[in-house]
Amino acid sequence: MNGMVSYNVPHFFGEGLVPWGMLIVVHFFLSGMAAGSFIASAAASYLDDERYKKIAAAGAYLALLSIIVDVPILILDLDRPFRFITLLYRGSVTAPLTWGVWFLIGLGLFSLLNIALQRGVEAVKGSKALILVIGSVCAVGVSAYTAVALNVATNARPLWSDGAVIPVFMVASATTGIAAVSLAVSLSGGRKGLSSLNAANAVLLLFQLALVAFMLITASTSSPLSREAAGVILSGGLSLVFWIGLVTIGLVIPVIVSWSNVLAKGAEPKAGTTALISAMVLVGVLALRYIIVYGGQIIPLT
Amino acid sequence: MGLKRRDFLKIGAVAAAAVALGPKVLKAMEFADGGVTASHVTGAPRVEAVPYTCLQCNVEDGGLAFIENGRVVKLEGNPKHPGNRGKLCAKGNAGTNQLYDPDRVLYPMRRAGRRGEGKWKRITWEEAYQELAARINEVLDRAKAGKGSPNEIALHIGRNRWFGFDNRFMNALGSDTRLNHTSICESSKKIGMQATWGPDIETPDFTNTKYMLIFGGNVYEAGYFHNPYVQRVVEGRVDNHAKLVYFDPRMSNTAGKADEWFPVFPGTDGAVALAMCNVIVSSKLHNEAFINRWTNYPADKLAKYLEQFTPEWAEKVSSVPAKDIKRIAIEFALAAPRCTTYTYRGPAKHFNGAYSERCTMLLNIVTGSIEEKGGYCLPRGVSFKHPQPEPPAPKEKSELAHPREYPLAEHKVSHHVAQMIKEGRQKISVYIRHYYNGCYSNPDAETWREVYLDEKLIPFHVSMDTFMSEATALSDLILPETTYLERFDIENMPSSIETPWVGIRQPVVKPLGECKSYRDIVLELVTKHLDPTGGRGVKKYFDYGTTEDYIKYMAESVPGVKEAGGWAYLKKNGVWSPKPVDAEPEYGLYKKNGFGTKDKKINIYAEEWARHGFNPLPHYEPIPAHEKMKEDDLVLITFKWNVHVQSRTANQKWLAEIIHYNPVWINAKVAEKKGIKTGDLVRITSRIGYMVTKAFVTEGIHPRVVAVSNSFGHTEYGRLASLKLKEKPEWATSDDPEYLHVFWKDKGAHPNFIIPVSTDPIGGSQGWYDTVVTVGKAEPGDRYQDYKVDMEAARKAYEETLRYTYSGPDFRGRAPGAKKDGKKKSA
Amino acid sequence: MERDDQHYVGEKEGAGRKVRWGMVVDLRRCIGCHACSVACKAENDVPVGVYRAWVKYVDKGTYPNVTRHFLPRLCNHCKSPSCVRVCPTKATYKRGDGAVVVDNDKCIGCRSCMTACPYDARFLNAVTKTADKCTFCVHRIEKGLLPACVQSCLGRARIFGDLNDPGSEISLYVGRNPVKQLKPSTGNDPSVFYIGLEEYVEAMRGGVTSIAGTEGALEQKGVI
Repeated sequence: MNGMVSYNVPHFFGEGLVPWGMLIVVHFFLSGMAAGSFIASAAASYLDDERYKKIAAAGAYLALLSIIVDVPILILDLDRPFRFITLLYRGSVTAPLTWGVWFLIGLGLFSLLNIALQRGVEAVKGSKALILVIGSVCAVGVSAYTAVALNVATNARPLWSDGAVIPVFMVASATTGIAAVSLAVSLSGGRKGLSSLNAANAVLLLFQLALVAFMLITASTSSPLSREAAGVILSGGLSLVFWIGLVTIGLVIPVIVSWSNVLAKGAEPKAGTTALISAMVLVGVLALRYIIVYGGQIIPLT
Repeated sequence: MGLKRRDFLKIGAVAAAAVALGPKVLKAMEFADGGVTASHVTGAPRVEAVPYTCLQCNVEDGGLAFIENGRVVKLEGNPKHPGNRGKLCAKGNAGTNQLYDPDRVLYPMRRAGRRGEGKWKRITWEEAYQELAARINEVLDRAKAGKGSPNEIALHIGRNRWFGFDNRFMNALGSDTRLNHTSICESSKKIGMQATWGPDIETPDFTNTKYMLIFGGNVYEAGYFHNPYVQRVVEGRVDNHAKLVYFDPRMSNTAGKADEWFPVFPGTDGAVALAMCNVIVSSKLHNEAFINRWTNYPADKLAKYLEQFTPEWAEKVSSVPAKDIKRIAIEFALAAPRCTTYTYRGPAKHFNGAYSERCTMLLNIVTGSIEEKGGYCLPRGVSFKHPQPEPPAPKEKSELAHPREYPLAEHKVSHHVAQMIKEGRQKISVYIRHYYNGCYSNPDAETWREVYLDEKLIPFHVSMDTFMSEATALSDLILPETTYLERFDIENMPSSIETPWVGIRQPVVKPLGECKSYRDIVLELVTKHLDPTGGRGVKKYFDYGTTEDYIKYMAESVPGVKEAGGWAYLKKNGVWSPKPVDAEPEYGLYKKNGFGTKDKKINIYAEEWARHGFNPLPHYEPIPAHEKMKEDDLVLITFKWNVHVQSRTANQKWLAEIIHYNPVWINAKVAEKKGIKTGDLVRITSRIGYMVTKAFVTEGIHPRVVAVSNSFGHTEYGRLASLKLKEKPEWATSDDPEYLHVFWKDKGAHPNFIIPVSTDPIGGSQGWYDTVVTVGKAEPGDRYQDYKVDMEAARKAYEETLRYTYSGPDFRGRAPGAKKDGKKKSA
Repeated sequence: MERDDQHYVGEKEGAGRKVRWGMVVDLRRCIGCHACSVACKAENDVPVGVYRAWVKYVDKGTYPNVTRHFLPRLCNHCKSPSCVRVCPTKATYKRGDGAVVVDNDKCIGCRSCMTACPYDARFLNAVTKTADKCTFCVHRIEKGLLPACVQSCLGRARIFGDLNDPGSEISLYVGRNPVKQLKPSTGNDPSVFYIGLEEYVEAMRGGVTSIAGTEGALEQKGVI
């Protein structure tokens, strides 16, 4: 029996006390929501200004709102919050956080412009394409940052160092945005365009399911450390959040409902159902962010 | 000099590249290895460095205390010290935790409530002295009138660094009741060795040996002399390719890093050693010339005697395979004379401890590795003279200090004192305690607690203590004592084979609060309060000046010290040695004047033992309690964690954060059978009580043994040790903001309450590792750290151990042909 | 004692040659005593609960064939440190002499470096509220003194010096013994090398430090 330890200096962080905790999970979640909402808004605005008017507007507002909540959370998470400002002028180009902050600020600005656009403010009408494209670039940047912050951060943490985390988080950002917009639209009583959102998420959620499965299969078959992390997720301390929060609430039920909607080929889905399913997707993504952020840190490295 | 040190080293290094890399070269890195340090904040060198001698344990390593603004900021080893050569262990490094512990007792205090209630009133030194002097004088006056004895004044010292000052004090009072702690330390080892070759300790030449055979001496973690010795063990093993074979029922760090580890059944090391001696002698690998010339027992007679100890017999007794015993014996003998044994408390802390020590020593004697390069050497020490006049020894013997059942136990049997006081063997009127946590450190600790609480048995209990220990909490008067960093002392431990040394302790900072060193306390008590006029005849023995004068006198009494610069040299350097730190050891010391025995020879046959009916030859004596063990019974042993001592380090944050709890080690197979998993609550039941603790399931322990560290489980000793972080004691004058970061919630469970007295009839030593227990899952209602002691059973255990003494009815040590003693009843 | 101090002032390059401080930990000589852990605490005022230097234990085998292995740890002062890469404010940087250090005045406490270190060498200092870790005792080496852990090492298991100087003790040691780095696959290229690392890694097999392993079990059950 290897691996008995009479005592060990408790130098590693362990469960509940990891470098990046719940605030970072929420930060990533909100960043994803901002990015996804903006892209949903931009896509809606680009595809059919009239039909998707409500979606485009909801997306624009949601993006800004998310950032307004998100940035203070990020600052709050710093142990030296008053030094946040140094990020803006001292920023190191090799650090994902620097890029993330710039993208977040950019996205915030362009969300504001997008709101103006959606409200029909004359001054910005002419720059619609520019606003949507640059804003989307920022959104993709923010979305990528959430993943790259983990992936580039280290070449040794399980889950994070596997490339799979990038598409997982990118797709998660998109589903968050769509679900948030769906939720907002359906709660405001509108149904127009919900079928398109439903269809988009139906496809994306399948992707997400496949990517999560892929990520965990890769982890279980690669290094012992990743195997251990996968074990913690599948059957260890994180398994409840994984199986109930992510798989059941966040993926399987939404996939079934959204695909049954798609296959029904009917009119717009019911607002109540959409709201519920969207909320479930949001819970699922939060669970996903939690599992990956914690799963990568829960195993001591040496 | 044109060459800079660096250039010189470079040349040295290149030259060294051609030859094998020796340890000496390693010491010459491009940097200064100690002696100076710098501030991590300012980067400035720390210029003020005061040398001292460490006392976290009793190894007496040399250190340098770096001072900034009157505060000790860092402790480092003293590179000039021949023992520890500039290195401090974890404990030594944490010494400032001791000095600046926020829960130190800094002012004299008198008990305010009932004894043990925890209420104290701060008083002045004047009041404290007067009260103590009055109590002592009352006894002396009564004794003078023929209505009492000076022996009613007891001085009980644990970690005794008084160096004869205790004799001076007590002899001046006329009391023989000087009590110590050696019987819970390693006294049977000393008794075994003294009977054999004179000194009570060995000095294995680990650096130069080829074969280290260690019995229960966990040199990687503890023992005499952990830090100095382990440095040399590593040099011997890595640079000299020596082999280390280790015997211990528990896998200590020494066992875990040994070339071979044999989990020997507790108390059977002697049997293994005797069988090995038999193998060596019967294989004609012994040094016949040495035995015949330098011992008092002829080789052929010894061979005949050893025949009975076959490896097969030893296997049955010890669970060490006979084939391994044979192999190791041959390997050991083939390495002779560069082979050595080393033992510490493993073999000694048993009913048969003194015998066992003689058995392991015999391995060196038969191979003739005594005082050879890489062999088993005598201690290298110096002795001191004391200021004159010195008081004569008291006329009347103290029964507590010299119990009649143990005539050979010259290191006393102090762990019996509580029971002896209880049974009224001797009256105590004033009980002065120093550096001794009686109701925590002793076996049957609950009886000690009971006696300390009883104002009829101990009417006046004075503590000289730095901390509120479990025993201090039960006292009537507390005299705040200094830590080792605030006082004068002198040391001469034989921790280096290269050279003897004289080391000093000096106040590296002014004593905190109103603390005084024990030497100053006694001096002031006697000269100012107890006998200010000299009328009692006590004062004249304290006419030596100051404490510093006294220590100076002792230090300068060593030949060579004065020539080197005397006291000033010692204060500046902390240590003096006649030869440099890296001197080549000298061997064959006995060849000039023989050994320290009466006949100047190694006494394989111990005449004095025979006179008391004990077996005079190296002998294996089965442990009575172990003979009666049932199938499900286990032996409970205790041990030290490597970053702690038994009772005085749990309050030190840098050590406690490394390890602060003590689950019971239990063999994986046994645990599986009992359905015990790591972390489970278990109940350990001995003949005198039970305790509830947590389990640690491991492959690293003999299946018939369980082990609990004795370093933890304090109920006192400050906020950290007792883990009552929010309960600031009323006497505490400061807080440690670091206690906010204390993350652990487990302070451990102390095992000494359920360990019965079991005493070696020869050495008078407590058989710490004799305890027979049963272990099972905790019972309903059991809570962690619960314990319960049956005081009647504890008493019976004590009475039973007396039955095995040389005058008792169950005496069993007698060898065929041993001379009969008149007092002895039967064999 | 005469010492060429100037040569060792960290960021400078001595005699046209760049220094690269490094350490070899000879695991054959390590006795697991924690002198390094505590010496480091005392030297650098490291708060309770966190360590710049520590020693890991692991046991291997089945009774009675059991062995114990130690792994003294510290910051690896990597040649290509991932912590420096992810620090958004350049608070963590690599000095000219190879030591990786944290500028307390620049650190914002985002803990990116803690997640990025493949060796868990960093922690958040609860007193300064900034990232913290071993500095190779640069304040000492600049004065020509050994790092505190090396100074205190009972087994003389730690050899410290200039890896770029072919005549230095450490270079000779590296040249004469097979040395290994921790997790070489990360590409971080540590400046801390080990002798005898294989045995420790072998003993680790079976996931010793996992929360599913012994340590975790103790932690969960409140034993540690």
